[in-house]
Amino acid sequence: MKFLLVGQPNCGKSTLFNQIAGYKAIESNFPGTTVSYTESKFILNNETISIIDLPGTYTILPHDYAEKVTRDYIFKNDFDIIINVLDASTLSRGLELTLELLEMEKPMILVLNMIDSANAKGITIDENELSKILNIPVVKTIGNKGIGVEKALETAYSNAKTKIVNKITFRKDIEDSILKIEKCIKQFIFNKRFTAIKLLEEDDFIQGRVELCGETENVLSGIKKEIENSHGINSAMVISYERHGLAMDIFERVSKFSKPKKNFTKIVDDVLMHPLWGYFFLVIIVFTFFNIVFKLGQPVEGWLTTIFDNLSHLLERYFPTSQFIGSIISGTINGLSAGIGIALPYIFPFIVGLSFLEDIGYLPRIAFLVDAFMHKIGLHGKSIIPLITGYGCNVPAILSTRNMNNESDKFKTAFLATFVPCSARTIVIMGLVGYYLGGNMALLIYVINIFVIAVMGKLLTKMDNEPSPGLVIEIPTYHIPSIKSLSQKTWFRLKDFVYVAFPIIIVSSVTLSIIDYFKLTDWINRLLSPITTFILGLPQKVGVTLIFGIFRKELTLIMLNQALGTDKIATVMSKTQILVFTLFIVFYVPCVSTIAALKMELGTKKTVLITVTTILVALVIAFSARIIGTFVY
Amino acid sequence: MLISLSEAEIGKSYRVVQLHGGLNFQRRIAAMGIFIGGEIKIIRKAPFKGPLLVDINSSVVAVGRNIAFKIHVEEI
Repeated sequence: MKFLLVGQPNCGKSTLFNQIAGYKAIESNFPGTTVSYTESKFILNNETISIIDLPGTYTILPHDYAEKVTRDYIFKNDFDIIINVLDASTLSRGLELTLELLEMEKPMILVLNMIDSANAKGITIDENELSKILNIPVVKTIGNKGIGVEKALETAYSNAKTKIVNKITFRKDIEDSILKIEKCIKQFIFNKRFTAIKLLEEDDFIQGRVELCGETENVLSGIKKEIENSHGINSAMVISYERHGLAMDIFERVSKFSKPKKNFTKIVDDVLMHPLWGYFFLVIIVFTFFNIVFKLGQPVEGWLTTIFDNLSHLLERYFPTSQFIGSIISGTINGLSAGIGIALPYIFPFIVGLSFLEDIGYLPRIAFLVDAFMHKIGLHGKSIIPLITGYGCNVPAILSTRNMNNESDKFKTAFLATFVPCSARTIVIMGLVGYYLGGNMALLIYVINIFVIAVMGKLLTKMDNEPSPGLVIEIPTYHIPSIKSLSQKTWFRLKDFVYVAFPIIIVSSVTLSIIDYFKLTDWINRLLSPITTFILGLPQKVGVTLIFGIFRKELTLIMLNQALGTDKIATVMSKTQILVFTLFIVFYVPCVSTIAALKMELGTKKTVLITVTTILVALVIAFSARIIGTFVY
Repeated sequence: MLISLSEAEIGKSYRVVQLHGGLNFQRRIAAMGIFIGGEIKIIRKAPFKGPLLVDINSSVVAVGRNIAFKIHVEEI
């Protein structure tokens, strides 16, 4: 049997899901996306039941990627019952989705989750009355405490496969119009009325699949005109208005209102969203966050790299790198070492921290606070999340851009995120500029970087005519994150990183070993000398480090020592050269893993465009630094 | 008197009268519960012409100024 969990974002659906997944025997999930669905299996009444947790959606007319995943799943797959989860404290809005789902006339139950939040807001809901009106079973739950979850599952089980009859009707003239469209429909999805409604709503999925004969088209456009004349709104919106009206009506019929309790969220928000203190705490929180990530990462990196070093020494005894096979093995070990030893110690705490900030409800508040600044560079508040993520690693940053509402915003955000210095680039900045030129100069690099991102953002916005649609985002109440949901989120995000980045890191590491084995270094150095020596005024020997840097940014630092034959860089490179080199490394070419993520999200053309732009920007910045450096030092 | 939501004042409640935007715009804000005839209460505003935080049927939504410009309201 198959249950679908469908609900609006922030309705506590995933918390509920994790409670259910506690019964599970087998777990499986679908890789490659952060905004994807999760499947879990559990045993109920001696039957294996799989339950699918679909991404939160406000309606099944999708506006963004997550909502599209949900709609496509519902439309394309078989299931036995929908468990529609609803945040009881925002009942009227949640009911709009419920009414929309009811139109499919598929087996369904309604779960009123977060009953405690509703009570705190002074709302008491009569679930029997609601059940009578909607003609489906209604169960009350408190997901994070596990209250009512079992009852919900039992109810879903006993109502699975019982087709429901939707008793909700719109105003008469709208129903008449729907009936007229129904009469012209030959193929349908779920049922004729549902298909007619979706045609009126201009759902692209249904439009693409239901062939319209000329007559139907005429009928449809005639009806649309009629509706627009009589209702004064876009005909594609009329159904939303009908549902909204009905939902408000039902909400008032089933709810009793009393005095709300003290609102904890409001008290916290008075500080965290304050026009002054809000920004103060934002800086403190972000600063603390990065500090914790690096403080946790550093010792772990130390331990892990030592283990891998020992391993590669051990293997070298049996497979010397002077042999081809030995060089391949050492490349593989180095790749694993980079992935597990260098990247993971930082990315793991970073992802845990980010998931924590997300679950507690702080991320949308950051979007609120920084929206005005993001507007200055042509983006809006939502883009801040990929940009912040980029400081940890560009790969999850690029993957998270799929949450953006439109293609143009997604492209711009992904573009700018590749410029954000990730933890690997931070290693280079700290190891070179921080170490040889001091902390202030290192800080200057970050300032230059933010400036460049702002300028690039402005330029991108100038070039594309489509203005950003702007920010509309729900600000959920604060929640104490559950360990289960936190670890699940962390695992999914980590897996994304591992799947996208690890194979590439290992393949490129082997490639580097081959370059080394066939002694191609000198050849590469000569090939790159127009850039390294002519434009940037660097020693020719650094050429090969740039190639290494494409694979993994932090390798430039390690390979620089090797290429120059010393770990005292200052004895062979001037201060200006160190600065120029670091700036070039920070900006040029996203690493291969990032390129793979870009290609996945944006396609080849845009990926090439971004890559070429980063090289040009790097050349301009590094060259300018060379000119300025000759005057300063 | 009709004003744009961006000019609305903190602590006051308004009724949505007109929406000046295409279908996508209307769908996006409808998903958040903003409909013609609906009530919106301004909770706070972010500085530097940032978004407004509003209460719509007891859910809290951040609305960017560009969006707020297109929502015309009257005070209740």
